[in-house]
Amino acid sequence: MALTPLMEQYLAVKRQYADAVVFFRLGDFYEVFFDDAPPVATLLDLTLTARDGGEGKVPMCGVPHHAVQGYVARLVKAGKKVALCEQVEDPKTAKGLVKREVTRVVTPSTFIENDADPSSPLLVGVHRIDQQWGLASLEPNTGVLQFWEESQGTIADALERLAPSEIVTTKALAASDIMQQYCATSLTVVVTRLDDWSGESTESVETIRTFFHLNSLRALELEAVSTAAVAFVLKFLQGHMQTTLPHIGLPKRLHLGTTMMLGPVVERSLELFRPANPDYRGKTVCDVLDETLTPMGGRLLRVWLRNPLLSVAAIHHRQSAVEEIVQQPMLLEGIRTALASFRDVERLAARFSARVATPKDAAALRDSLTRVPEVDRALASVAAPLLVAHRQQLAVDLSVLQEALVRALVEVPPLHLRDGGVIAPGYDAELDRLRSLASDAKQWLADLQVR
Amino acid sequence: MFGYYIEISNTHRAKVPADYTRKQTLANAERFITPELKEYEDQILHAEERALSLEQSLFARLCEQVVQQVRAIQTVASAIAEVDVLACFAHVAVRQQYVRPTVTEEPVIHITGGRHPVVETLLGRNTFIANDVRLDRGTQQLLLLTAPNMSGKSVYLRQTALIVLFAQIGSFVPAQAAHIGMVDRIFTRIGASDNLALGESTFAVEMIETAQILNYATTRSLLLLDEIGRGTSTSDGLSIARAIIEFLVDPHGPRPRTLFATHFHELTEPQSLLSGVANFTFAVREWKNEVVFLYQVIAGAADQSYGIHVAKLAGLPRSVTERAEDILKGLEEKGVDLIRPPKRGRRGATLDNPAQLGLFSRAQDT
Repeated sequence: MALTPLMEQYLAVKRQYADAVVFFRLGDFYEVFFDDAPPVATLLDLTLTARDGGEGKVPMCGVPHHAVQGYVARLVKAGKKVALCEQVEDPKTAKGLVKREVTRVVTPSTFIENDADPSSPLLVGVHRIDQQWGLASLEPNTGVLQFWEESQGTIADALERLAPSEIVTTKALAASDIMQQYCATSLTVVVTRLDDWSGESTESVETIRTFFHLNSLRALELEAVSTAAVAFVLKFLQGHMQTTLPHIGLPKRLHLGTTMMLGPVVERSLELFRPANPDYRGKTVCDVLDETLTPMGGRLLRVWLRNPLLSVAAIHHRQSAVEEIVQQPMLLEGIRTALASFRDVERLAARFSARVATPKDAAALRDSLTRVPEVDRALASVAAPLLVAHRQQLAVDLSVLQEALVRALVEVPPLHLRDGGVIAPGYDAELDRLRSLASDAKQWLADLQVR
Repeated sequence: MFGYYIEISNTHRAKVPADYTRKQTLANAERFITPELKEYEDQILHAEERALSLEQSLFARLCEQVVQQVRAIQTVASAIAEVDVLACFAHVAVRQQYVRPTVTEEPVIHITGGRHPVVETLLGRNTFIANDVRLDRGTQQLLLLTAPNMSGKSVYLRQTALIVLFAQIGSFVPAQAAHIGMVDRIFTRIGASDNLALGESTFAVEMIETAQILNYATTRSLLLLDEIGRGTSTSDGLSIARAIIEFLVDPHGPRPRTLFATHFHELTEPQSLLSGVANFTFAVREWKNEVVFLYQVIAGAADQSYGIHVAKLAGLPRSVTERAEDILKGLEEKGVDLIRPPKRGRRGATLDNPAQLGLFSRAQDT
């Protein structure tokens, strides 16, 4: 008795992605086998069945392919990684076993296709050399990559304040007391363990240089331990996203001391984001303050709340912008009307960057870019320096792209590319010809039948 | 067979033109194709396929164009995000009637008519009682708030911190006027006093958090301490609270601006004895043997704990509360003096022998 070829194929994939749940595409379903199956069945409320694997029954459960995103979202929320293993050749033309490959590994911080949750899951790389710890944090929506160092005494607090959804570090460090302690307090954090030699310095430098096409890292002012931390993050992205990611910014040093440290104790006692009593759905400070109209505004508000300023000048800048808007009701209304139908442009940019954008995403980007001049007009007569600066940022010329999107896409494209109906007529001559050929021919046939 | 064909029933067989090629014979009919038909068949089947494939590559090309402009898109997105938040602050300020606070580097916090941003929306603006706060690093460095729970003292503490926080994120604040001197860090040691089951921390945890605060507070920090010493015996708790207060106003220490709320009204004493400490309480009226909380902060110390009144309000049996009042009277008549004022010029603990001091014994004389 031997395992069936299908199971062999599955196990080969699973060996490569041992720390993820493997969703194995079989016909119209994604199936989960062996040890993955029982916990997934419980988590997702699926029926646990079995399948003949050649050496006996193999436990399995599955989800229909068109509904996979929702299930993946739930697994990721529960702190699991999901490797999507697709059929990469047409089953109709395949000889023997259909070729399959993992095209995507979904984790909390790389799940940018997820529409349902606009929040910011932080990905943090951690390394230690002697008594010094290096940290690199990536916000996947904005692509902002920051690094800094902590001491043995401050690292535990730093991790608690950061509250990452995902950590990437070496196997050895993942087993250390500090990391074990953090994982014990945050049960859904996903930890990716790299081989211990990954922190080696020439390796790290090379990873960063090639990712960003740099000749030297000198201008970044990294230390040895933060170099490794940044490299871990980049390695993680390369392993899980399998494309280059132009929306990721150059790593920048986070200067501690430019904003006030709050921390989870203060956040809790002031009920900033969560009510003190989770059973009683009370209002939080964020609930009262959050009247933002765009998802990126919502995320930024939370960042500002967690990082109060320590510079009087910077505070005055924001205040005078707010004051100008407060004193001019027309200005306030103009801005809010212009912002009202803006989509999550930050996240859309990230999706295009990761090559997972859908036709609907393209339409959303088109629609939002078309609204930018309206915001600019609303800000036409502002005087506050901060608002003037923002207006200048908005003046960035995206007209060529915007025009291309308008001309290329139909008004309301479908979600998937596979059935067509995405590109508008008049954009490409050959496409128009083929389409009319197809519809003409059908018409000719109809006429023929009359004859 | 695949493809298009013309099916002609046998009755019409004679009419079949010469250029029709027979492809399939059925029982009652025959199927033909013509060159024209074949040509169109090719076109239909393949045109659709080719159109789809072309669409896909056109879309891919479009996506590439977007990717080329990712940085520019991010710049626009981040500007939109900031404008959104600033307009959001303005919107809330107008709707909730916030004011622009004066923010400086001076070591003060002066708030006139301060309100709690969340509680005021739950109670309605006219019902919420606004309060002033005057903190500096001089005579009002540590505001000692003695008042029972439910008097409004926890809300007062939190709203002070929140007004400072709002000011330092650049927003307007829920107050009539505010002058906020920059705070480098906000420390809180506030139990979730409304929820004993979930929020009650052990005394040990309380002490760990307090230790962190005392070790890290600087001259520019703001401290909010509520009910320190609650998790242990009265005399221990009182002693610890008192020692912490002395530490915080010690002229050789950081002397951070502090709001210290406690139910130990024994901690209060004439202002001149401990410089920097100012006594405040929450106004309470007794009406028909009941206690009415006015939620107004007033200068001076609470002259009693009102603990028994709170117990009555909570519904403790009358026999229990009446007996408690008797015991209290007895304690007060014995003149128990739990805290001795510190000797002038001496730092450190004020109690020589804390271990020996019990609730019912007299303090030792100097």
